[in-house]
Amino acid sequence: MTLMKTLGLRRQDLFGYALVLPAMLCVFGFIVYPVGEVIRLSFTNTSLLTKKSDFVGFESYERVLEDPLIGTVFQNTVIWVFATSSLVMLIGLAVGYFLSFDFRINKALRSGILVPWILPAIVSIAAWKWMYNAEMGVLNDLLMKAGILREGYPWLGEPGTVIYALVAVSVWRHLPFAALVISAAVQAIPNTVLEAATIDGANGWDKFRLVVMPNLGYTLSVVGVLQLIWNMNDLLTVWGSTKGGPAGSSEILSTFIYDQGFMSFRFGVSSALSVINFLVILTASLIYLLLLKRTWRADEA
Amino acid sequence: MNTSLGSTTILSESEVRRSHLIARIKWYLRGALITTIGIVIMVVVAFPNLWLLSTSFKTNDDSWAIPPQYIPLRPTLESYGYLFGGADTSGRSRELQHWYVYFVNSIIVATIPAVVATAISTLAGYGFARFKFPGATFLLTLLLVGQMFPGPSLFVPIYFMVNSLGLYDSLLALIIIYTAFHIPVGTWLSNGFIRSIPLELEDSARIDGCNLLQTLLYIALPLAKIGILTVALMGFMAFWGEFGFASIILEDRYKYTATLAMMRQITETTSTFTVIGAAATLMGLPLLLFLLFAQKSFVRGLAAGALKES
Repeated sequence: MTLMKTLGLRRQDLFGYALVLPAMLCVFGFIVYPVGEVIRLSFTNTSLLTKKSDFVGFESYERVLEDPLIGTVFQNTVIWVFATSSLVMLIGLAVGYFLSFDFRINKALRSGILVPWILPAIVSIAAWKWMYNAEMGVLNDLLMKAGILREGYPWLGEPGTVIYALVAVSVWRHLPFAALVISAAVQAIPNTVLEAATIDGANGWDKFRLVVMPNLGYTLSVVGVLQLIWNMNDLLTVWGSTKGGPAGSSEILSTFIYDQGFMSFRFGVSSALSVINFLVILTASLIYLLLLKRTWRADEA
Repeated sequence: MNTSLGSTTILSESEVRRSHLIARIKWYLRGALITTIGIVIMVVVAFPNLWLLSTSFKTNDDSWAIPPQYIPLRPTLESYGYLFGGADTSGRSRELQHWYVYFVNSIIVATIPAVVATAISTLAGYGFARFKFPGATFLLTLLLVGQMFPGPSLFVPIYFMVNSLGLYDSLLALIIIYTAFHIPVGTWLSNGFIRSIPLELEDSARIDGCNLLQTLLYIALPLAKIGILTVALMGFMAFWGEFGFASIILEDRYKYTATLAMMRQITETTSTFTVIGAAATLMGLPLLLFLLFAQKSFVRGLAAGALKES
């Protein structure tokens, strides 16, 4: 009792701590501690085989930079993350705006559009891999029938374009979520504001540009940041489609971590790459935090 | 004069009719345009998975036909048979022939963590929503940022941890880490849901003599039902399709989850998309059923979860 008084705690506070304790233990044990571990491991030459673990400074990072593939990896990661995020925001905005109206078809569309998002990623990736098939793929067949292609294109086999084919899969998978969130944000704009704009003589495009867009800034930034984080964390799309190939041409940071660690057993290099991945995600998460702070404060009040 | 007056009247009447007609055509065109856009969106969204579904009912030869068959000409259930029979002598479904084992493994590693993580998260969410204890804001921030980390960055340390705990190649290891990984999102979601319940109900229960625990169990939890269900469903969804951690922890073929088995079938054997299609269909089915039954609350929960609007 006296200890509690000196700490300035009340009885309810103890109940509060008791309620959150199991959750926080799990999070500290399996998220916070591993983050610390991977940073430590990236400065050692730990190996499960030799049972040694000596401090080696920046050696792993030097080996990362010496890797002949690292340039491709960084370049692909930038394309992967930024192309996906911006396309999801852009197409999500168009589709989300369309969905925000009370068109009769939208009722069906709002539930139908969720399907790709709710299905396990591996299912959709299998579907796309099958569609992309160079010889028998349905995509080539459709494009040839439409007269766009003369002969089948090896969508996943062409080193120069494979990353863009994979971006398309990721955009397709993430679009439904973005569209629904954006359409909810459009619907949250008070009708009176839109009516006032109509009375002032604004046409559809003006209303979108001058009334709707300024109200979507927050939602779009949140969608964009989340896309960035999710795509940094996405191993499955690229690994399931190409395993980073052909010849490393679609390797991104997440697949390279997996490849170096669990195919080549270079845990030092893999840890160093993991730390790089972690730092990007940490930065994005802090931006996310700043974005949310505004609504969060309002919530606490 | 009369005639001219009459003729102008008639003229203006036909003009009126014409402008009505134009308005009507415009209205129909607009409707047609909207419907077309809607259908295009629908087709783009649905096509890849429908294509795989259609493939799952084809014979193997038909699945490789050029040009592709959009609707199976000789529909068959043989791919589904391979998944459970394991009698495919040609080895076409090698990685998937013990499908029912993988399916059960997936159910285990998706259901148990979903339930446990939801229980822990609901308690924590209640704690954060109703008790303003010192450090609450810091811990909530930590959860918000921490939810982003599980992913490739943690493969190596989790692999080492699981090994040093002696849990390598066990479903238990997956159950533990999935549970832990879902807690940040789960806590944030349930925190939001519980905050949206009016405090008065709990206050009057306290005045009526309920203690803190009774208030939580009998007043708050029943009201947060939909939120709790959303947390559990989101967990199930995430674990059902998880690949990275499952693949670094599990080694024995009979411990594989459906996702792992499917990944191996896609990437490591000459792909047989009839069997992959059948497996994919069975994998997607539980989630589609959830969507069908819990759509409204689920969608609301997902949106709230991502944007923390609640």
